[in-house]
Amino acid sequence: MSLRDRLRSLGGEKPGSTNALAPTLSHREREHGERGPARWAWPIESVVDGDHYPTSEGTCFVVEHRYPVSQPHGRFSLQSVLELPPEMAVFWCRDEALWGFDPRRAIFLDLETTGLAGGTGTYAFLVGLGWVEDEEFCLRQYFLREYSEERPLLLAVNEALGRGETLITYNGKCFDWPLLETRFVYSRLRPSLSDPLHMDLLYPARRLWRHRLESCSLSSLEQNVLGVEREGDVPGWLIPTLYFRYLTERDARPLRSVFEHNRLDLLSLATLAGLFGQLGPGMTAEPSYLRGPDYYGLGRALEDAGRLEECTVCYERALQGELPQAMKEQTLARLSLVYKRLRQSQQAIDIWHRLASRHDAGALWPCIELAKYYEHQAHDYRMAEEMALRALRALELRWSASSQAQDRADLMRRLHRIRSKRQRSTCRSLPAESET
Amino acid sequence: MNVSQFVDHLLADRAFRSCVTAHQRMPPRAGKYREFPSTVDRRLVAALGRRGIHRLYEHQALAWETAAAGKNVVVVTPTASGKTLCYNLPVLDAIARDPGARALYLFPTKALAQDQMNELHDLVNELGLDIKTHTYDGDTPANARRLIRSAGHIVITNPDMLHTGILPHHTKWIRLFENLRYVVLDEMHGYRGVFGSHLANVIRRLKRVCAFYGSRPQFICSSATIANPGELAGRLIEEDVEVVDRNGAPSGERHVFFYNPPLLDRQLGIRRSALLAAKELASDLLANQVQTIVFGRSRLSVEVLLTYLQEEARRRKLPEGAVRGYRGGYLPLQRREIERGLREGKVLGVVSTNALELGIDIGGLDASVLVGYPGTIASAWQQMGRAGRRSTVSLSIMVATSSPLDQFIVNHPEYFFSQAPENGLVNPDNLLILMSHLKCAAFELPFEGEEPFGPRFQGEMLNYLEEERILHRHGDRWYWMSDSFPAEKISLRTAAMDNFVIIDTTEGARVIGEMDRFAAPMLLHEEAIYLHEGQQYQVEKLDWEEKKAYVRRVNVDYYTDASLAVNLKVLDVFSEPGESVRGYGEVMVSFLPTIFKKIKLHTHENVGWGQIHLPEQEMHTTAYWLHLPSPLGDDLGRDELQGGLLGLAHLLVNVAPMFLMCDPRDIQVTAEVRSPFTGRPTVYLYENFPETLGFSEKLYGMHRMLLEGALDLVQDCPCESGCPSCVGPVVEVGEEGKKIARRLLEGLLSEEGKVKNEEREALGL
Repeated sequence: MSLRDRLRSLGGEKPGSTNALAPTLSHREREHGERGPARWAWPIESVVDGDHYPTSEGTCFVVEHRYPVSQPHGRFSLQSVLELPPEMAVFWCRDEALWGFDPRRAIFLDLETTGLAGGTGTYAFLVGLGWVEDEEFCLRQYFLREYSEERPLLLAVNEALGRGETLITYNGKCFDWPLLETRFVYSRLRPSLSDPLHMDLLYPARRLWRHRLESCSLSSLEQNVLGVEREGDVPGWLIPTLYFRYLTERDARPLRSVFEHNRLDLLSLATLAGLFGQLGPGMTAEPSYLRGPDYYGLGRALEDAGRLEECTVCYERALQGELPQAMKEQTLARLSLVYKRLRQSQQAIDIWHRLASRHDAGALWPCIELAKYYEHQAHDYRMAEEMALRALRALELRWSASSQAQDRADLMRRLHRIRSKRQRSTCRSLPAESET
Repeated sequence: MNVSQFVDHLLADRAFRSCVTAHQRMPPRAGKYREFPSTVDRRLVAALGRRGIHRLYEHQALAWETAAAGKNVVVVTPTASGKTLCYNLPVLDAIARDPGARALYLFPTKALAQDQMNELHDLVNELGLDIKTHTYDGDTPANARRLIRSAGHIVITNPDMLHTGILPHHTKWIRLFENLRYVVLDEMHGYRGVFGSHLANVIRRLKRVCAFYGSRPQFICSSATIANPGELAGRLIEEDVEVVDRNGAPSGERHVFFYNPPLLDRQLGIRRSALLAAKELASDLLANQVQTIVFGRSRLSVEVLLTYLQEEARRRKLPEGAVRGYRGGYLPLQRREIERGLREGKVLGVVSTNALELGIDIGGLDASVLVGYPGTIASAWQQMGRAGRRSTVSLSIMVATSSPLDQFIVNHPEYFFSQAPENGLVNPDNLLILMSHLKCAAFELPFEGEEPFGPRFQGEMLNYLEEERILHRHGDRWYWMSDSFPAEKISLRTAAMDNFVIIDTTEGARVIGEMDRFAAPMLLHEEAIYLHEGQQYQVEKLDWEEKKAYVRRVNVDYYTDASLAVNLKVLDVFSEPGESVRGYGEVMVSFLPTIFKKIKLHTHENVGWGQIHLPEQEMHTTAYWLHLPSPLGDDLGRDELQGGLLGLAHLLVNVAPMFLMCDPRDIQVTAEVRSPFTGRPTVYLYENFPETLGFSEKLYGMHRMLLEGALDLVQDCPCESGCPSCVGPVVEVGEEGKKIARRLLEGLLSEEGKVKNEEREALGL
């Protein structure tokens, strides 16, 4: 038995799912074992319009696109990137270091890789970068024609990275940037941006849109927010396979769609960044692309940042829009509590009364809030008592028995206190009554 | 009663004495000490002094000298002889002098790693230097990982984590790999067989990554006593290693007894159950307040014994929790609690599988009782070594079962006391294992030119992986070309992944343990009685796909024992085709659990049975076989032949580990009255793991010796017509089984003689 047959019979080698798409090398191919970059049927140069970018260690294949910043992308344009104020960057990314954010020193980054697993065996074969230069959006794609060209590719990428100080990515904190750093370490190079400021828009996008959208992937945002339509887009899971096929079959044609995919990702990323510049503290417009649930998300973000006044505006707007029932109640609840913090008692009470009139366990907390309000603020002990009694009734309707006991004990204590206060206050007011 | 008095009490007992086949008294040994070498960092010497260590044992000093000379070293010492200082001393010294230096410690289990970290922390605190020591394993919180990767001086981990969590992400560990001075391999004797063969490849990968970052670490290994520590270390790290085996630690007096339970029926060769005999000895020890560890050979025997001893403890009004169980399936917290109880003396007795054989710190106990010979000399010494303190007397009793190996050992104590323990065998070039790690290595760094992996350039395999489109060749380099993460799919211990979880559904659902997928069909089939810490559970449902067993607490008077149907198919023959009766080659073995028996507690009678419905499992491995040449056996009836062949198989599989010096579980046997492959009655001995570790080839080479050994065993046995200690019980081999097996062996040996003569004639001698 030959080694090959033994390995096959041992069952140790089953071509993986991706490799299964490609036939194994034929005997002829093996025998005539063509090695190296010779005999390219369709080299990348014949498929994508690009240049050979010189570095100190050989050339790297680079595709460059330049767009005027007024260039539309979906229903927006790239223009707003330039108007992304540091305040909004800090607000959305919750990173004080971004007070120094300068959109002209921002670099957009998106990688196409040989896998999602990470680790040193995962390569970035297409590094997409973007930045604003002379009122133009410059988009560059650095392509790994062969694994052996990784050093020139990274040197070229490094030159571009050197012009910026902030990275803007989508899920780049967990994926793109660590992966690129790994490639640099692996090639014994140092990225010219070390420990950069980093705006990863995945997190703000989730905060803003997850209440409406099932998926907050970039392509979902394109469809549902940016209004970008992709035609014949290549699915992400197929990308590694296409690159491997390019390497073994020496045919770059299938990669055209990958370049396009990466280009659109970068444009959407830049557009999205601009969008975040218009949303947040101090915003005046009421953008039409925000729906009820989005206002709820925005309100939550403002609430977290302590911008309570603006937060109430957003919650109110959310309530004016269309909301699923559960979210509507959640919005009301949060809104009432923000009003309470703002000491706008009347607004809060109105909401609590609305919620307290339900006939299920959901009435519990508004009843308690009302009991507290009438006891401590209004000193209306009759109302306070009624609310505490209603809270007890609502408690009965809750089906988690374990937490009931504690809550019941708390409520009973409250009820007793209110009753004794009520008694005392009636005693005190009695002589007055008798006088009249 | 102290141990010394207990020994006297035993010796005064006539019934006990009549069963003892060996009593060895090992005199106390004074320690051999050396002053601290002047080259050790003074701060370290001072810190050790504050902890009461003012000089070194001889082996510690020798280990220091060897490491200081820049050589790799393996320290061979028994349990509790201060082996950790052998590596902590050079490592801490190196870091004290150069805070940039790094060390990597590998322990076979997470529990041992944890144990070691605590010990190091204490020493480092005493030292007062900022030496960061961390464990890094599956339990390490994500936020701590980053810090450990960049700033940890000593990273304590296990081979599995190195394989899947560290090496494939080496760029994140650049500080470690650039500055790696020492790699410590503790419990090295455990790295044999499949696990060791995997580890050798992980070390190939480790050294490759170190070379990439420009470091060349020294290895310090520690091992229990085995026959070939230097050779095993050399095969694992593929470099020269110096052996330090002059143990300088003192030890107290030790008594070792070999105990053979009395024959109940000489004709049938039936002996009193070893389990019951051990139970009585252990009860006696516990009743006299002697802290005792009892080692059982299987989870089942541990649990049965625990049930007995806990009943006994209740009868004798010992405090609750005085007798505990300990084995692999227990959850970590439970284990830690038992270990602590042993150290603090709150636990008086523990019944354990070989899980406690490893260097977990439970302090020294007074006595150990081994139920059955653990299979290897090294393992027996390790288990006996669990009893023993520096200054007081300790006691070990090995109770023989009726298995042939046990009977051989208990009747030939000189074999045990005079012979070197087993060899640790590994085969890093096992095709499947090598291929797995070649992929991982290519993932970590591309192969370049004629770069070797291990001692050789693996061009043919790299080409194969290229054809399979897993690697991409460009110029003289092979690159990883797949979107998968190879290390994830490769388990270093065939059993470590795919564990079955055991869920108690008596009240709610609670996970009470886990079990590897090879043991699960036998122990967790539906209706099985699963024993856990002395409690009986019945398996109500086994979800094969989800790997979950749902059990419910029960109280019954029986346990269950499952049978396995084994089927073997020869795929390829490696031996000479013209060979007369023997051969070896590649085989496919399939296993199908068939039925289970219900066996009554205490009386051990069969009280019922049931069927098991589980899928068949398959394994590619290597086997050695022999068939009966025509006309040997042709005059026998089918049943007679079957019985004789079974007897022959039983003899062979029991003497084979003795000659191979391997763990008995590594070799399995199956017999066919008419083998479709040889066309003759055939016995196959196969290796109990995928591919090969070289055992079959060795057996093939020692064919004649094996037959002679088997003949000795059957001739020496006092039973009349077969017993479990030679050919197997009469009910399995038949009335004539023993006689026929012996005749077959003689026939085979005369065949060997004939072949020899023919060879001689052919050579004109």
